[in-house]
Amino acid sequence: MNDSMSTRDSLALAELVELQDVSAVAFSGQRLKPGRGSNLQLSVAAGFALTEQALSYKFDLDGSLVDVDENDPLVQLSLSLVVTYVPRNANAENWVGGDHERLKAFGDSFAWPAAYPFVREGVTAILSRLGADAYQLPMLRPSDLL
Amino acid sequence: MRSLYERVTATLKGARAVAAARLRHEVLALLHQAQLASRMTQSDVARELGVRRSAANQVFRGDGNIRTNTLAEYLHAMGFEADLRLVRAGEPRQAALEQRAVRPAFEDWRIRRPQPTTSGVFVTNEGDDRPVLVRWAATGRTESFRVEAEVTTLPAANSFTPLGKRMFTT
Repeated sequence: MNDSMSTRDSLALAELVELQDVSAVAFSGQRLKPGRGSNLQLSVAAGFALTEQALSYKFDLDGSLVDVDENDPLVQLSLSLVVTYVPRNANAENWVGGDHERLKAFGDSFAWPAAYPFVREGVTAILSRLGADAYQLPMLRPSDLL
Repeated sequence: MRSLYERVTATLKGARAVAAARLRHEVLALLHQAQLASRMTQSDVARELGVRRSAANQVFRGDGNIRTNTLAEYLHAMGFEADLRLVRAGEPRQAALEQRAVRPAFEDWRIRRPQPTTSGVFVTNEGDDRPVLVRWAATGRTESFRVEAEVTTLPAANSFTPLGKRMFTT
């Protein structure tokens, strides 16, 4: 599927849904070694679940804070968020098609940007509670889409 | 035996006089709080407003009936504004006796009610590991609104179809 078709599909899908909630479903961090750390390495896995009542996207973040010269992590953290969309028209039948590519494009363009501020806040909260420097993730750029 | 407050407020005239005295006291307290917070002297405030120091002193002493405009000008000179709310007659006294905050008579009408689709509420259903999403659908009227809750469970963690994975490094 080319880019313009993905964009068109995700925009069409956006017309059908309303953002219901962004919710943290897992939030954890562990201090493994003392130190302030200099690099944050994060991996993000995304998934979707579609029901008759809701379209949900789940973003699972796992990461670690490391020193620049060392590979051993100082802090390990994980954070999972679920972004829930509901039909704009409650009586709509087959409100969202089950097309995988279409749902992926929508997740890229809408769900991940909706979740990202909560990701930034969550990462900063976990690290600051563990005595690490107050890391702030950079702004979301088009190249950062999933 | 009745207290002095009860004896004074037993008549309509007395009760109104007490209400007026309380408001005057509140206004004076507001002025002094603003002065304290702004770290300005009475001379500073007088200079800012272009009035004599004695005039400012008269206001800060609560000497005479301060006009609404004068109150606003003095507060503004110190960097503040006043925000008023209605409370039921007798509520401040009752709140003081019960050692609680004064309850406003109404919700602030200036605050917009939430729109039907803007938010959901997560509650934990006992005996169920998964959180429950409550969908609110509200219809609003001027003085009342109706709320209908529709309960939707979040998908289980293993019901999500993977979309991909990527790394970020800062």
